[in-house]
Amino acid sequence: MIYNRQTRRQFLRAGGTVLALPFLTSLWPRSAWGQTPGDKRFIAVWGPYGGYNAADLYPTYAASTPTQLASHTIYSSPLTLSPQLGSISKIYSAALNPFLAKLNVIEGLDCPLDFTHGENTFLGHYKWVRGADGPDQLPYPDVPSIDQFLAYHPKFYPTAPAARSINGFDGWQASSRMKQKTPGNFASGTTALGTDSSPTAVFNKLFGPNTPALPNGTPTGPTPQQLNQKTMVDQVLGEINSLKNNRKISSADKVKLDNFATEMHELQQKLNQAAQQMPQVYTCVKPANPNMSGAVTTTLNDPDRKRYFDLYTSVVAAGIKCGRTKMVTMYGGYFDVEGSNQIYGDPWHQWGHDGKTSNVATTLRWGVENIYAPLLAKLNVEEANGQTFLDNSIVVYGNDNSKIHKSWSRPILTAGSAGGYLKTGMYVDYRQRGVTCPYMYYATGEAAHEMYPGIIYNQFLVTVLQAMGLQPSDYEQPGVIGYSGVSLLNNNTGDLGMQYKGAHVHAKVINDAGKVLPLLVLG
Amino acid sequence: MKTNWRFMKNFALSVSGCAVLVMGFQNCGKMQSSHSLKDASSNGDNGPSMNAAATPFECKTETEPAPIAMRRLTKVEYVNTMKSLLRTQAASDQTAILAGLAPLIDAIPEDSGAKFSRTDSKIDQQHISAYFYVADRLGALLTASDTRAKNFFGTCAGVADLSVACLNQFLTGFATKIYRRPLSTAEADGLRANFGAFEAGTRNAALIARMFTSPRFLMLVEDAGTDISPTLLQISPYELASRLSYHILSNMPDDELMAAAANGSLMQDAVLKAQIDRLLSGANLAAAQSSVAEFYSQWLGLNQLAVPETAMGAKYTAFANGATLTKASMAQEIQDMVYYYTFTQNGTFNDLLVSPFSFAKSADLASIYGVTPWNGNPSQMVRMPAGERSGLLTRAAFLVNGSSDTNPVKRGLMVRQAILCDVIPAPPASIANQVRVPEPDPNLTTRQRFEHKTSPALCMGCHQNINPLGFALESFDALGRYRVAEKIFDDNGTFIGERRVDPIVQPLITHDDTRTSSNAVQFNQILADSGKAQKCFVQQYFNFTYRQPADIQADGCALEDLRQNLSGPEGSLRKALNSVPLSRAFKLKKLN
Repeated sequence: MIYNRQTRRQFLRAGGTVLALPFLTSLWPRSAWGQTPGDKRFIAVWGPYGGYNAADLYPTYAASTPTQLASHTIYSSPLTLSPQLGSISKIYSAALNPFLAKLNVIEGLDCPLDFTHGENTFLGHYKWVRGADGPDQLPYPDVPSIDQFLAYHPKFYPTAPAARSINGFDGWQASSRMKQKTPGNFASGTTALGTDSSPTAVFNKLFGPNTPALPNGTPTGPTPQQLNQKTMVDQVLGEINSLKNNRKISSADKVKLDNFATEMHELQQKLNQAAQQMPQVYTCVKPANPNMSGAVTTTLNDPDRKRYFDLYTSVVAAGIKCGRTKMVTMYGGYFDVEGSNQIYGDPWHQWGHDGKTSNVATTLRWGVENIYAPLLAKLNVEEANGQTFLDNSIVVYGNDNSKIHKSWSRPILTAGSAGGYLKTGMYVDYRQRGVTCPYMYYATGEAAHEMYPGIIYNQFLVTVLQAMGLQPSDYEQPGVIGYSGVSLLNNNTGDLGMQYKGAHVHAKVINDAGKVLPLLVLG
Repeated sequence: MKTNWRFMKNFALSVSGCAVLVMGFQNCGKMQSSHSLKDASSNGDNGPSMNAAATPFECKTETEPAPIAMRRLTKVEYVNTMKSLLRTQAASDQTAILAGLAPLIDAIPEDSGAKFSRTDSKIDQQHISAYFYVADRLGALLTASDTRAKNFFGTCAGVADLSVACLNQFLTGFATKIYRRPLSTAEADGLRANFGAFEAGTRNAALIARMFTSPRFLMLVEDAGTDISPTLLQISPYELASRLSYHILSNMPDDELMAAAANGSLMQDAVLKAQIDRLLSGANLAAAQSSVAEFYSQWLGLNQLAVPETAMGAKYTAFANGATLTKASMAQEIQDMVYYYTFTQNGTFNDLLVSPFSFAKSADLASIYGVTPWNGNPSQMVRMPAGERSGLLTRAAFLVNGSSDTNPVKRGLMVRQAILCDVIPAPPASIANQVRVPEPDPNLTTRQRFEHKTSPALCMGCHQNINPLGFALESFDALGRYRVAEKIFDDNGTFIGERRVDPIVQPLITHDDTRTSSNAVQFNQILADSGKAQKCFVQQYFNFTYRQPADIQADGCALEDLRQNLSGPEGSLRKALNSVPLSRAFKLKKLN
């Protein structure tokens, strides 16, 4: 079935004549959709362990434009492709090239905690982490992870959607995401959230029989073929741009390619003109039930695992496009393509300890190519006014660890601008180059990517909260800097906040924990 | 060739106005041979500049070839490639799909290069729109049934969106044929991402449309060569396979060629030579011949033949005296002649210029020549009447004029420009509407009438080099019939006189060749002996091959190599044909 989520006007075609009829959008209840075009969405895909070689992850060049913060100098550069690799990096492979202008690569975000594993810290819950012998409780406020805080905040969801959040793919003891026991009440404490473990589970949650019906609209919007045509032209134009960057393309060739592109642009305008006679927003297409009800497990072979993630992200994307949810978080260790299919144990974890960085790079690249980039592609479809669903979102790809068991310089890749809130196409390096801190410094042996102290990861969390439309007053608590807090009270080795504050790191780094990310926020 | 014919027609019409439009012809003093600029400029006089006979092209081995811009497939190549890619479909489906595409393919503009249609490299909106909608429709047609989808994507496919594994299989399989080389990792990643971005349930069709709209399919992209110098690449084996196949067959590389590219052996001269031989024979012969025919047809303007219309009036009726000709029979003869000397016999270019055989298979054309029709059997050749005609220029295709009168200026221009590659400046446009072909005169031959009209000294700056080449063929009337005397009719078809024709000329093929010919046979021999027509052929075939005008300086080595293979001691038409892809230049790409 095809539904028009919001239609400015409809055109009836008869006898070769196009007749324009006004259409009142108010005829469709907004609550039926739970969102309006341009709504902000947050999507996170992250994994455990780290253990990669940073040179495989970050661009091959150093960010070079200095910006002086109160605490230290940071650096940034436009995000470009490595001429040698034809991609941003080995891990951020060519599958991301079509989205280059919509990405940000961020280096130097420190999560100043001491834990064995901290998958739940990725989304800002710092209180409960995994220690060497089981759960550890750290002296931080018991806040929900930001996805769940947003999912129950009326500014994010003025009305209840079909699903406040999608929580994939698997979770460590169900603690990758933490929900407030009483939404909106910080005093109520948190509880672990269950997992939407299969594509069918997600489908049922978003489109199943127990979800609100999609509105009854006359399917007069662009057909899938028309949508594909526009997408296709965009893709060909992207291909031409990519082709022109090849050194072995001559100047005469470039003239021809420019000629080709000029005519494709004209075709694009024609298609757009035709589309203007159609609804201006994306037409929701209810997907078929993917009929894959199993979780991603150790028994899945590689093709089936790819199919799992394709179906999962396809249903998720359809859910976003159809306004059924705006919050999707996907955590898991199943990116492994090396054959062991272990969940949290070896080989990835062991690779981290053994320094098998190439294996880890392959794994992370697999996640880019089979989960993250395809998801970006599925969202990079015009939603309204020339903006795509991706443009109106923040889609994160990361790891809770950088080196194994270390969460300094946590790797963060973002896509989308949250409707223009974020600047994009940037490589930002927040580290204090050349400054080491004995408690946090972990010599990597990679001169360009040593773990020099950077800025607090909390700033990323705050940025997401504000990008999604919240103000500090919506989430700040008395005595807590920013959202998750930075403990300055305990200087034992279980809390590195004190050391982070110490002589080696400027106190202003700590004090900035409640601010949004420097350089990246347009407002 | 089309442009030249149009020009020649206008020019010929303008001749009688020469006396009052002398200023327009003064530039003829700068007339040059397009392949002998250096020679021409060194003449140092105001007369037409024509190079010495067999001067080699200047080959400086350190000179890099001229840059060749990426080009799109010609319409013929596009259609042939489409057909090749559909061969995995059932015959009935191939027919149905092509029928479904036909109206959309028709919208692709016909190629219209200045001389050779394949040199038309422009890409305009009509091209892009047509490519786009053909691709879009093709996607729908190929996914209309599970069978079609399987035959295109692979057995793992069906109407439903491809699985990840099936998509991967396609991207490393049949997609290679579409892009004419294996996809890079980045390309495969990109297409996977593209696939995912399409609307669920329609992805297969969209992927097909996406790939058939790609410049990788529509253009001959060469970006994978090996550095020879900072500005020069040796193209990759796959790129060589495409150059070769599109040059010889006007079609995509076949499996065997792709295999030779895949293992790199195609870069070896022995393997390349074997592939060239294969592409020029056996099952490929018809396609290869078609490409050769395309060259000759467009070089010699056979697609623009002037044939009398059926109702030419009383004068023409009287002149024709029942003789008829068709474009098809005339063009067929030239094609048969070319095939004979290229594919049947190891003939030379001179054979074409002085051949004593008739290749007329149709009765009407044979009747024009006064011979029996040729049955096509190489061992039963039909000789032309002794002493009357020899070679290409005495064939009806070059002699018919579309009227009852010959036009020696038109014939002369054709020889001077198309056969000898001499450049003759166009007359001012203001002349065209002021002049007429000289009126018939019972007391004058056509030659005499044209001589009179072009006799002023300033006219002769051009016409001294044009007229003799036409007058040499005055032994043939406007239907190509041999004659010793010219019959003159008035407009009512009344016979009003007969004058003996005079084909004796000093052709001045080159400026320093003052030999005289008494008839067309001698004239063609002088032409063949000059070596100039051979150089012109070389230049034309280079243009046809590389799809852009040769740069005499930068491409000198390739031109000279081709000339040697055409008219050197061991040269032949077939050897020249084979030698082009074997030349060093054919494997090079100049970047800037």
